[in-house]
Amino acid sequence: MAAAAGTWAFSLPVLNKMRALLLRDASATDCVQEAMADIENDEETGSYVVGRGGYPNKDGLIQCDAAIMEGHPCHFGAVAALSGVGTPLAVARKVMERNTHSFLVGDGAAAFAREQGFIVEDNESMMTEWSAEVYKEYLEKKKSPKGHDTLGLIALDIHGNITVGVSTSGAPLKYPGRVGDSPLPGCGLYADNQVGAAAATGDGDQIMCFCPCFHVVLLMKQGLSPMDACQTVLEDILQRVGKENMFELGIIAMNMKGEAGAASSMPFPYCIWSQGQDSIEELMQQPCKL
Amino acid sequence: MCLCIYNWKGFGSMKPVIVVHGGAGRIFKEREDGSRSGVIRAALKGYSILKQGGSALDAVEQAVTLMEDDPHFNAGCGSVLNQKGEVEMDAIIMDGKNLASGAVSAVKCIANPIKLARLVMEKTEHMLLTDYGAQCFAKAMGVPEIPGEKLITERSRERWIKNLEPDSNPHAFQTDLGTVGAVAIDSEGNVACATSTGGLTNKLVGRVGDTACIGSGGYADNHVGATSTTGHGESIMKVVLARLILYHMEQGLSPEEASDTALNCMKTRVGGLGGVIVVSSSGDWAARFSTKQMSWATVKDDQLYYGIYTGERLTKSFEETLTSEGF
Repeated sequence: MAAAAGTWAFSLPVLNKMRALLLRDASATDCVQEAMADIENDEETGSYVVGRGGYPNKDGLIQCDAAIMEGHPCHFGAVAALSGVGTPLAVARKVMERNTHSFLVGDGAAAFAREQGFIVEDNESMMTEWSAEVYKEYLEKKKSPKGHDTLGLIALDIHGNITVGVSTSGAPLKYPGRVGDSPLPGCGLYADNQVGAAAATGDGDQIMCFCPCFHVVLLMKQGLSPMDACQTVLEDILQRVGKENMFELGIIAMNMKGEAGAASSMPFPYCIWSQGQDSIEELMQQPCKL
Repeated sequence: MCLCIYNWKGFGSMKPVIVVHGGAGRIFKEREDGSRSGVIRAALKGYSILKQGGSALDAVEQAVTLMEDDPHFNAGCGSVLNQKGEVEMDAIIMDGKNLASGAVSAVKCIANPIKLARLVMEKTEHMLLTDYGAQCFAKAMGVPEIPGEKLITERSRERWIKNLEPDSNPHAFQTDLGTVGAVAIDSEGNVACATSTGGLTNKLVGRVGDTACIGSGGYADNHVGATSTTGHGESIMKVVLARLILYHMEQGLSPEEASDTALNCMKTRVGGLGGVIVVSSSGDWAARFSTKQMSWATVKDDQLYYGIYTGERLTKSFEETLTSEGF
């Protein structure tokens, strides 16, 4: 039973693509990578804090984090603080497949990307008018805009393999080299073929310490549905930090039957599809309340 | 170094505990004494802080700092070299009180990455800084920059050269690694963890392992306990080992059972070996490993426990050891 899920409303067009790919027998990993590349490399979607045209760091450099995890058996690849590549998730996939290391950062990640045949561009061609404007405003007013969108995609193919991928340009105007939750296994994403997968989005600096995606998968392993697992993790975190201190967090999850669920601390649109459905479902998750 | 503390000055009701490790890789016979002595000294240092009513966070930071300065270990000075012949280090520290954490990865030319990790935790809103960003931050914090050469030992250089040979197998030599770590619980019942490493020998530039990844290299939560891990980093990350251990403890397993269960999961699911140290929120502790050796030392109730081989658990009194180690 093939299925797909994505964070935020802007995942809708790629969910359509994922549906088409999965029905044509694409692997979950190919599906996630190809779909992610559409958003990452599209400078129009940079304002969603992903890939090309995304928010630069304090020095005006766009540094991206991305990771991919296959459920079987927990193959993992990630890049962080990678500059100059419009499809960082594809580089993360190469890291995963090379299989010696799982996580490359900074200049090392860029050197690896080059070796693997990616073109590493200069920062200027990664920036758009919009991101340059944002940076100019930051330099003048010294105020960083708030924004924490991360694109998270989950695909379950017809052979029963699950893959999750996440990609982000990170916290807007972040400290150079700042890495958030996205590329860390268990934090921004997690997948296990015996259980399912999860992806997180939101304020990465606050999310990380809860390892929420790992927690969601552990709860699904105990028998909870994706929805209940996500809700339980959110409630747990809410209880821990208190309502006044709660930060932006959205989680999506899917089990090996293709059932999906989500939970969030804010209104959180997400998209899902499962085989048999003609179209993508756009859902709105309301904030979790204790 | 003055460690003349014999009087218990407990401010809270918890009896403090510290556990340290010097890595779960292969420890050659000629290096055993150095490794054993290194972890014992680190444990003594950490315990002396705890005995004075100091925090678990201070204790683990100081214990790891000592091991970073000790060239016997693959952390700080003595770190293995990357493909280019440079030292690139990862470190993490976590405070179980509020789940605050700080980490650095692929950082060069500083003596103590664990101190920088703590600065990330305390002076920024972020949890992980990497590569040149971590370097800039170190400079901004006034951390002295030292020539990379100062961190390189003859041994690390020899192994790097050997692994450059065309028919070498660097992965076979990954058996002899010594990531360092510490976990502690203080008299207030707060737990903390710290882990530091030079990573894999001849690794790709920019390779980051489990150490800097929260939940993998270490985790601390006052509700459960704290853990620090060592072993094959890529495998540890795939099972989020530190968080997995604490999850098992939340389900009711003892630190020892939780450690063995998690290590076994790592072995069977992803074929990885490693070692862990754990302290629970009630002061129980464990030092377990699926490799053949891990140098470790624990101090609790003024008694030192230590070992290297599976099943080995030697013991001496804290006071006796202070004297014998020349404190």
